Amino acid sequence: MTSMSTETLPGWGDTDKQSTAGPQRSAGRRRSPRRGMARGRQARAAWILAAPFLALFAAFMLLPLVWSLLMSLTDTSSADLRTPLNVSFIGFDNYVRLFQDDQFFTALRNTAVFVLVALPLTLAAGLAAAVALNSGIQRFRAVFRVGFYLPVITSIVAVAVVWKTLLEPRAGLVNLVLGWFGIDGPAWLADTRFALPVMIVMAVWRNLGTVMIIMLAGLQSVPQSLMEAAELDGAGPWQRFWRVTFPLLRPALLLTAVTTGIGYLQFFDEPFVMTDGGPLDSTLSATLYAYKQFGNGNYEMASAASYVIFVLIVALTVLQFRVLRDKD
Amino acid sequence: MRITTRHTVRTVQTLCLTVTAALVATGCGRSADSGAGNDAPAEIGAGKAKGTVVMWNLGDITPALKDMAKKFEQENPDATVKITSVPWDAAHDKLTTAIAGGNTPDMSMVGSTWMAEMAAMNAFQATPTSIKSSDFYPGQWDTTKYKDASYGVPFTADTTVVYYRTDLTEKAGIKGALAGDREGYLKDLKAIQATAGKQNPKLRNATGLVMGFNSWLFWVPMVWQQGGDIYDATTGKFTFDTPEVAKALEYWASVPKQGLAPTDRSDNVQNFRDGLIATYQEAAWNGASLHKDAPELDGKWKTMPVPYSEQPAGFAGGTDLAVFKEAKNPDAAWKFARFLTEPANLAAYAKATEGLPPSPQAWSDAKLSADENMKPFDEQLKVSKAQPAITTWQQIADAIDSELEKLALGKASVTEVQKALQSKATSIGTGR
Repeated sequence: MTSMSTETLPGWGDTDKQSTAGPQRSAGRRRSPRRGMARGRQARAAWILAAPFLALFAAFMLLPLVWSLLMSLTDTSSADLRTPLNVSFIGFDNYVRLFQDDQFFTALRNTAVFVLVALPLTLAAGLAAAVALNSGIQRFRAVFRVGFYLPVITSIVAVAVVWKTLLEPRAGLVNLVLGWFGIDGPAWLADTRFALPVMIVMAVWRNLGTVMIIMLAGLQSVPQSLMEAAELDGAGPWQRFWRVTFPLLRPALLLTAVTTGIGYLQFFDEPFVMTDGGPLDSTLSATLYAYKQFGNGNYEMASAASYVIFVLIVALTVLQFRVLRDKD
Repeated sequence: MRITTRHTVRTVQTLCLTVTAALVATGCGRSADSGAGNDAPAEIGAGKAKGTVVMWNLGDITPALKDMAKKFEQENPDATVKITSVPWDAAHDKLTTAIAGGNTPDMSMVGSTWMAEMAAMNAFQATPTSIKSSDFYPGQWDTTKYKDASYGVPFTADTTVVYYRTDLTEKAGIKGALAGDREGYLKDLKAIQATAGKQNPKLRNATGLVMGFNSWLFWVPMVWQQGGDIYDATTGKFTFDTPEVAKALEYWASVPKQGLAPTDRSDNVQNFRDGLIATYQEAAWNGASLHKDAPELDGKWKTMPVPYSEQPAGFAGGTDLAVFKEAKNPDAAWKFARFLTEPANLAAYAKATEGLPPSPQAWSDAKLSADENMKPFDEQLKVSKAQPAITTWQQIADAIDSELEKLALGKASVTEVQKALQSKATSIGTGR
């Protein structure tokens, strides 16, 4: 699924630039009637062009959002779908039940660990890869760029299945290789100590490519003259990076931190494909919990859990903006 | 970064359909039971079927089913059968979505463990009285039930037996099958374990265990074998706090505790083929796929009924045929369902798909017992039972799965697990 962008609607171009015929002698403040009309027509055209998107957005994003919020405040289960008049409004009971559920806490804890460990690691690894590619390695830059970016565009399910095969405790390649060195490898995905760390490593490997590409673009926009000026002022390479490059990378860092953070909070595919949340719920994520509740016909609990995740995402995003926004 | 909303999309489509009604609904209370569970049986008219019947099939449409549809059309010249394939892993969601939207086909194959949940959604017509429960294995018939009514006809049966590697068990001095009683079976497993790395150099564990997802399929019958149960339908109470459950939990814990099975979630089928384990419990498809994928093992493995303590028992799974309340052509749908579940057709279908038929008559018609490795399945089908017909079953099953895993990994004691199961189950409840 791709996320929908809602910032730009087609047809909202700057109409002033589209000249109407004839010389324009009217002063800026008095608009000619013709231009006004053109504007009205254009606005109408814009709305017409945007209508299909808006209709789809309303039907498939907005309505469900509201609907799901309503469900989280009622006792809707799968049996009520045919008889929606059968549900009762129960206020915040579902949320209370949710926070009494140990399993939900486990899911939140796993998600928190995943985000807090994987997010900084991904950003650091992506930045390091970008800096290395930007400065050191000139000859194979394209090859490395493709190599780092390949996991990003590979289907996550395919990746998860391949990793699962590699990590198979008895027939998997990883333990086979460890065996050559006399190491008796663990049952990676069936071991509560290793299952989540494996997924963190996977996530970092898979997503550092995205961070790297955006950081690379940021690095290449650092003016050479600034660098030279800093060098003349006697700044060493380390200082040049922290005092000149890094501040200029702030917007890129904010973008990748926010998007990756949101993605990580919605951590779902890997446990869904590889472990089904096990062993002993050690890889159960918040979204997987909601998914399971939904699959069990507890639509009200699934909705409540989804809204808790939603609030967490908003909170994390606000925090990131506070920390990383340009200070000026 | 891709954002996962795959699982919400389907929800969304479902919910949009009922949104307007529900916006009004939030202030209303729950009305009395809406009829699911006490519907009057459907009527099948006399004469031939007419019109189009749309059926959903789980998984790929087998040639056997196509042939039967053709035969039905020949017998009923005015009827047409249209069969749509629904992949297994999407089927549950697709069915509930269709039911919710009132957008169902005439009939469908339905996974046996979903029947109660969907019947409670008021989805199915009650089975006509002309279709007799006595024609089927009792456990298979029970999968069609919700409350006091039956809502479908058994179409395919499924149950498990023990597969064992004769080449490995013989080296442990076991002639033929392992002991059929639980004590003796455990003793045999220990004897096999003793050969690991010695007479059987590749062997790691005597047997395989299912960890996590769907392990309840193997454990719940252990409770039935004690003469106990996990749920009392008459009182509507869960009975995880009974001594029979404790015994079954002890047995489940004993196998990994004594190192007789790996707990690393490794693949039983692969381990069995590689000779890392000597026995495990699995369904009928497994025999067919061993023939196909590991012909070198032909003749090196056999099957036996599931070992038991007090009385034999097993789990009844499979699929049922159900006709929807919203069917456009219910009469022809029931006629097709009746046709498909005639013993001769069930026999032909089971033979062609290497599955199990849900009726004893079909079993003998298909002469399935001619294959020595199929015989134990017949024995198991006679004693197999369905899970409790409650709408919350899947959640109870999930809870059992996770508690059994704690037990197998030694993270919780039998007493702790028993307490946890009773309180979890009671708080989940039985739905409506």
